[in-house]
Amino acid sequence: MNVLTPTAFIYSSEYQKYKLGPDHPFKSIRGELTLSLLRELNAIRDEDLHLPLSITDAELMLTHAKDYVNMVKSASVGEHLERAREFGLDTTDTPTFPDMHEATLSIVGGTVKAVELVMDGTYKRAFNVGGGLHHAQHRMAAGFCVYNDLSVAARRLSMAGYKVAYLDIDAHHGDGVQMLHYHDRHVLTISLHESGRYLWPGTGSTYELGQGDGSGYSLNVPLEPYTQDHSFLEVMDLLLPEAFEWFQPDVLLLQAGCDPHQQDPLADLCLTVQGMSHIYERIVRYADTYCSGRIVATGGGGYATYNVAPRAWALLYLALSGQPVPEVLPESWREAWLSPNPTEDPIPAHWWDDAVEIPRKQEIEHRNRRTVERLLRDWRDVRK
Amino acid sequence: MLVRDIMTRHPLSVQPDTSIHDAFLVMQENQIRHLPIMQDGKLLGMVSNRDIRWVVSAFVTPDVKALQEQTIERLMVRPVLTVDEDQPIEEAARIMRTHKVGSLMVLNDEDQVVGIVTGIDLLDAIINLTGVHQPSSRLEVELKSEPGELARVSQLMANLGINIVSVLTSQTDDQHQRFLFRIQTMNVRAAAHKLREAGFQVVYPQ
Ligand SMILES: [Zn+2]
Repeated sequence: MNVLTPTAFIYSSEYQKYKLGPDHPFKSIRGELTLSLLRELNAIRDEDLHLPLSITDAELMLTHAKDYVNMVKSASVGEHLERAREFGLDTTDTPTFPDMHEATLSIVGGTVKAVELVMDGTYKRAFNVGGGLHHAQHRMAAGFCVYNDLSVAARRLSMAGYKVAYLDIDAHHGDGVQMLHYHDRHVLTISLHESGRYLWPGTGSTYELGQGDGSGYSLNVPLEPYTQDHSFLEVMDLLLPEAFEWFQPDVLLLQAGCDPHQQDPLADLCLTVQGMSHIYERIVRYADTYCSGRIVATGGGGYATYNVAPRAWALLYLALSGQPVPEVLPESWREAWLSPNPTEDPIPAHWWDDAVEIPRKQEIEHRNRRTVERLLRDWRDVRK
Repeated sequence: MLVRDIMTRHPLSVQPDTSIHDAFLVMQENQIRHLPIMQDGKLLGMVSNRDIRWVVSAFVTPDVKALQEQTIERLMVRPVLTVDEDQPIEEAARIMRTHKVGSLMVLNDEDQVVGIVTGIDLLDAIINLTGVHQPSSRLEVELKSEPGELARVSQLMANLGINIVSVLTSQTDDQHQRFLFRIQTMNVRAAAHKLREAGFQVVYPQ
């Protein structure tokens, strides 16, 4: 093992209790699959594994409304709740389930633990594979997310005096985090996502630039459907250096949803795993240049549970810790798991994907470029 | 949605003897583009930001400049176009479009002024009608123009436990209508799949 930067991996079997139902696309087994892949690769040391912190109600309620938290608690013990839907609960996307409060709180505690390890200097980098619930709102569950671990973590950082650059590369707009920090100048939120013209949640246009105190502190790049590796990287390179140079962050909080992958059933971006690996490496490089290398990373969306999530997030861990990617995907890992749906979501045979041919490739790249240029133009006006 | 649901209540107004200059300041300071002129609860006329800007502009000719010393009564437009508070908003939109005006005064049963509705209010209403202000995904379905088709779609959504945030529709040809739903689920493909299985023509997502 050749670790350049020791990187904490936060994981708890409690995460498995985040169970949205047998037919639900969100599968908590993703975290387990990732950890086991890292183990088979001999890429993770036991001493770098950490458990979540416990979170007080008071800290949770800096982000969420009290009546909402109480509603989640009641749902956890199986009470029938008349007003659940008002809070986004008991819906197809976010059904109630036993121990819902505890399970979600452990995920929040995982991201906060990652933050703590970076703040106290134990690590420069930490990754909570279970985190990334970016759609949860102040008083509402949404898009598979109950509590917003990212916002709780960002708040802990900013209350300790850190300037937080939040970068969201999930295929869906990071609407919950953006909204919770829309008036906040201590947290710069940046989201690269598939355009909301069709896709959930519909927000994330270039003109959403923050409000009041937070004016200029929200940035959004709505990407064309079928965007591929090259264009995604190009967009990042056009935006991130200028954003980080201006904001001077102390730490990068990364939501690394892996649903921009071409195989993901819920979105239409077209990245390959090797493209995502490049993206992770690039982000690490930016963090080195602009915020002393400090990164707190989380998972997020990712609905090709067996095929994509473990590869993507193992590659993220390898990039964070500065380890080279082994040539072959370990046979021992492939044999250890059985996908319940081998046609739609098979255990991958190789590390790398074959890129698909997109007929409108050039037009898509051109449009994405124009989107960032327009964003930068508007933003330079606003941030003066 | 009725005019009363989207109008601005208790709009600012001025007396007919207000100077044009003061009326201009009222509009500037409150960032409004339409100013009713009222006396003893009676609606006398209306000025728009465009009427008044011309008079106070640096480009005015001497005869127009003389107007600056006058009261707003000299400048106001009458009669004022109005709409009743219990009219549907599309009626307000049609009146505004036909007469090429940017606002209407809103009256109650007793012909008293109770509010003002502007083009911006109508735009807000459209945004609300499309449902884009709520987290949702877009689903487009082409249905036969026949009784019961929409009911079948909404029954399917109900069976899936999916809430419909909004529905918009337009005619595509004599026999078909395009329905645009915003539905409250991130997993819109699963819903599309069920609709296709049931024989519907889903336009988006593919
Ligand atoms: Zn997502």
